[in-house]
Amino acid sequence: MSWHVDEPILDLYASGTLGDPAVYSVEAHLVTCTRCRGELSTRVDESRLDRIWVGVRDRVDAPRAGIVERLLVQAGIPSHVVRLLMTTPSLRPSWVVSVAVSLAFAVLADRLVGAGALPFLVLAPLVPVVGIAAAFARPIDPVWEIGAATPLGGFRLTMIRAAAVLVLSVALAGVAALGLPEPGWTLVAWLLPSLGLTGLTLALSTTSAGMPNVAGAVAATWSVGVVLAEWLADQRLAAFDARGQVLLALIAVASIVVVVARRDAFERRVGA
Amino acid sequence: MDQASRPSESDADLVTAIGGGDALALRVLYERHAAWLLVRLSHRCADPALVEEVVQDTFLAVWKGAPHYRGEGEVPAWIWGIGIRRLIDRLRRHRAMALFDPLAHEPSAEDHVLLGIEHGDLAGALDRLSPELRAVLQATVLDGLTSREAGRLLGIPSGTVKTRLMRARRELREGLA
Repeated sequence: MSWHVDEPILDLYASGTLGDPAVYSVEAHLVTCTRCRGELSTRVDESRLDRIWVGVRDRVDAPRAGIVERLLVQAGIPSHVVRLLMTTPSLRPSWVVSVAVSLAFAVLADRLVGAGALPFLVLAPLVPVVGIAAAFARPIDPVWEIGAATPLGGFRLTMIRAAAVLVLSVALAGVAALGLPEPGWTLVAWLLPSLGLTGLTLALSTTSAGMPNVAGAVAATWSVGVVLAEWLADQRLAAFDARGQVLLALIAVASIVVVVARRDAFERRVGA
Repeated sequence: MDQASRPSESDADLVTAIGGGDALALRVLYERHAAWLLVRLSHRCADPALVEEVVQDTFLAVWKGAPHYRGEGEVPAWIWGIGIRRLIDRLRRHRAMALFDPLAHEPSAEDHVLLGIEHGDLAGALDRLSPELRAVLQATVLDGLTSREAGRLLGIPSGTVKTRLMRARRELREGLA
């Protein structure tokens, strides 16, 4: 094409001061003319174009958020917290599925074998305990190094993840409990034990013992304790009666006090 | 911007390469087309920050949409089609934002002289149109928007776009007769 936009017209167009009919002409021509597009480019602030490009590049490189992640962000949770939760091993779909299956089997055992609610009531409080241990287990936490190297890491990171794991565990157990053969107080009997054992795990993890060891010890003590209480009192579900509930509530409260008092311990060794 | 600009590759080649995940090709396409897109969008939206976001949106859409590019029409026209629709999207979300103000683009005396040389009677006829009618002509004829899209861009109902377009045609015909 031999016709090209005159330089003064391009100047006016680039600065936004060209009148309408001429703008039509220039724009219709620009679509088809490489040379005039190049001429126009020299009249545009290069640093502005570079700045926009940085934005394009960042968005092209950014990993695509999953559907759950986008929903949580839409629900108003800050995106950095959401990313933190998404990288928590015990909040991933595979973990949730396996917990759901375990709880379902416990309920099934209660119904089929007629074992009362015992298998379920023993298992349900252990779900958040194991979940929190897994949330900080070094070999499977994809952001362990980041957590360990982040000054803000420690306490906040632990609490956010622990809270999320606890909420999810309670929600799953709550749904599973609806399937128990004899609904009634067993429907919620696992709730205080869940809080107590979770708190105990967090409190004990402020010592030099690692999170997985603490979780294992808590889980073993709990299982043995329930059976022992039942055997000593010679009464079904003795561990879940009023005295048991009060004891676990006390443990929960004491644990919170210990965790807050020893919060510095989380800063030193995230996920050890 | 002094890296390889791949002069041997046409725009269509670049889009094909982008469709295959070639991020460098996107950079080259950006260098060729971001400037005019920025200027052209600036003629339709008074907010520079919003225009910059739209340019970003557009090249991100090019990156994602390149595999679906079927090679119909010129690449610049394709890019413009994306850009103007992204602008409409953004404007709809920023309803309170200052919309394109056709009155802000009155031609200067100098323009009148230049236009007289270049467009003759047509320019005169266009110039005599009211700014509202010209804005509708620009959005539909030049930008290739549907009357609904033009309505969103200009902040008026699509029915109004249609009636203004009819009036603009009639006035132009009379002005050229």
